[in-house]
Amino acid sequence: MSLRSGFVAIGLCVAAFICSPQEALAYSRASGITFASVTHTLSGYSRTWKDWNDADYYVDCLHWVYDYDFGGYCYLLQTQYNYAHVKADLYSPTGFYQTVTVTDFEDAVAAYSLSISSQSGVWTAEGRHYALAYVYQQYCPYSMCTNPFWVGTWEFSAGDNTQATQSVISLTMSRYSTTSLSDAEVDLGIVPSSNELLLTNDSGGDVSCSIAFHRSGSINVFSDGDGTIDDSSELTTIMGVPGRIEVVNAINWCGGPPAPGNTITGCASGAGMVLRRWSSEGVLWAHEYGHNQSLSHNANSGFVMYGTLQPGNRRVTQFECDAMRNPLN
Amino acid sequence: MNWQSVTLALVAVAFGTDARPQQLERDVQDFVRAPTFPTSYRELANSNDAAATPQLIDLLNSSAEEAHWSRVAALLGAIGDERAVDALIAFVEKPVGAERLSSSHEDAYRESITSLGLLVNRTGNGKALKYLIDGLTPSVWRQRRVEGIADWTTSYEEYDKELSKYALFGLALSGHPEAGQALRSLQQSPTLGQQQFRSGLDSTLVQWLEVHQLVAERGLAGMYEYYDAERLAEDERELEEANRLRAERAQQQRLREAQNPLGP
Repeated sequence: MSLRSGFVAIGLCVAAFICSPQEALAYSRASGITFASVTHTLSGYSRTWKDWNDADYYVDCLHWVYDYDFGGYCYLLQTQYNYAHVKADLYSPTGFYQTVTVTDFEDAVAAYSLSISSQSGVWTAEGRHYALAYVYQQYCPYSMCTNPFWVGTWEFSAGDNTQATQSVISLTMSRYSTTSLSDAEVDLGIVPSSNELLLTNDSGGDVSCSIAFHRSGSINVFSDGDGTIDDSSELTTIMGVPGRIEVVNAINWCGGPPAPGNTITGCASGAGMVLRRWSSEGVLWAHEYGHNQSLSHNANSGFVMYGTLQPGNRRVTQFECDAMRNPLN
Repeated sequence: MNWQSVTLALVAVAFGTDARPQQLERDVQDFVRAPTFPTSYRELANSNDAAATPQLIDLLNSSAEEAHWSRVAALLGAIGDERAVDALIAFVEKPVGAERLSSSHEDAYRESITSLGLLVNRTGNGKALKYLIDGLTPSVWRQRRVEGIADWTTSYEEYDKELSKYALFGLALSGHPEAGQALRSLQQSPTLGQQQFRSGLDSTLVQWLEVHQLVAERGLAGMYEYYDAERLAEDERELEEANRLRAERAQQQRLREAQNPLGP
């Protein structure tokens, strides 16, 4: 145990009104956070963990202590009740969203229902206080189930368990009437690909960037124009279609004509982007989202923000990750 | 708007094994097959000279090079060797044997037709100029028996208009006076065969006539550099605004922490 986490454990025990040695042990040794597919319950929150953000944050605490790892926590409570308060923001890979708030005097269990076959992870002390939930999904049409596939990793911070630390980005989108793009292509192909390449640390200047893009709402269908972008006026018009993302058949203008031999696959401006269908769409969507957050092109190939779309563009710098995780729009 | 944010799709394809004896041929092959391709017209135009033309024409006629056809066509236009005119026209009019074009084949059509405009700019070639001017009438592409349609179109009638649009782009890129006249005629007094095509092109014609004028005044490289500079300036304005917003947020965060120093 590091010095800092040791300090935290001692601090907890000094707060004797609420804390027993067993709880301190649970805190330092790690406890599990598990989603049970049968009962659809998420369990494994320890009271120690929850106490960092208990419901009486402003009301009942007599003395606050600040720790560099976890921010403030209550050193002395006015009440002896272990007032556990858990709020979890939960997202499914298909965009389902649910906020669960549970308040209890004992172990609170946040229960929720998602079409996820399994979700499990471990959060631990030892200086790294977080929970990772690896989420898999499978489909079972006509009694034939697909193999479970990884759709994302959800990170819960023990330092702030009122919300997941993973940055969840809702993407609203539209397509031109003759442009092919289905919910399934977005949910099972493009978005998981974007999330995976951002999360994976591929070394060489890459960082693990925990972002969960997900489709928000149905794909809107529009018929403005002819499905191709041929000038700035058409681009402005299509950017004005509801949704962050507009998918069209071809882009022949993006602030100017394409350079000979180059195909424009995406054009971003402000909080919007116009895209065409292409290979490596996971890279493309993440790239244009980066532009939405005012990121410029990265001069190095292999990075998501590199100006030429290639399947191997998987890296993001810490600066780029921070910009995407803390969106301006 | 941040038009700097353009993403250019260049597909990396594994190198073939077709070993050719001449270094030049190898260099040209490598150039069009490389993971990246010049995004600057000036760089592209200076990358190769007319000696590469025969090899590029061979590549354009090789079905094995389909993934690179659009680059080959662009390079033929940028080099500016008149031998490329017939090759590009033949490529567009070559039987395809399929109703639907692959994405790379369709991109190559667009690139071949617009490259004729680059060739007109470089050489003033009359055949290429006439091919493009005639191409502003969609039904001409049927007379030329151009085969295949884009996968996002449903009929030749619909796709022919796209081909006519590519001719429009090519004429604008040529910067040629007759090309400008043809575009203005389409804009102001379209023929019967052009009227339906013309109906949705108000803003497009204005924009590409501006391109035509820029090419006429500054040359092709100057035109592309003009738009590059515009995009860069807009990008910088947007970045400045983003930095201002981020600084504001940081300031607000510091204020919150100052008001509640012990809170999580």
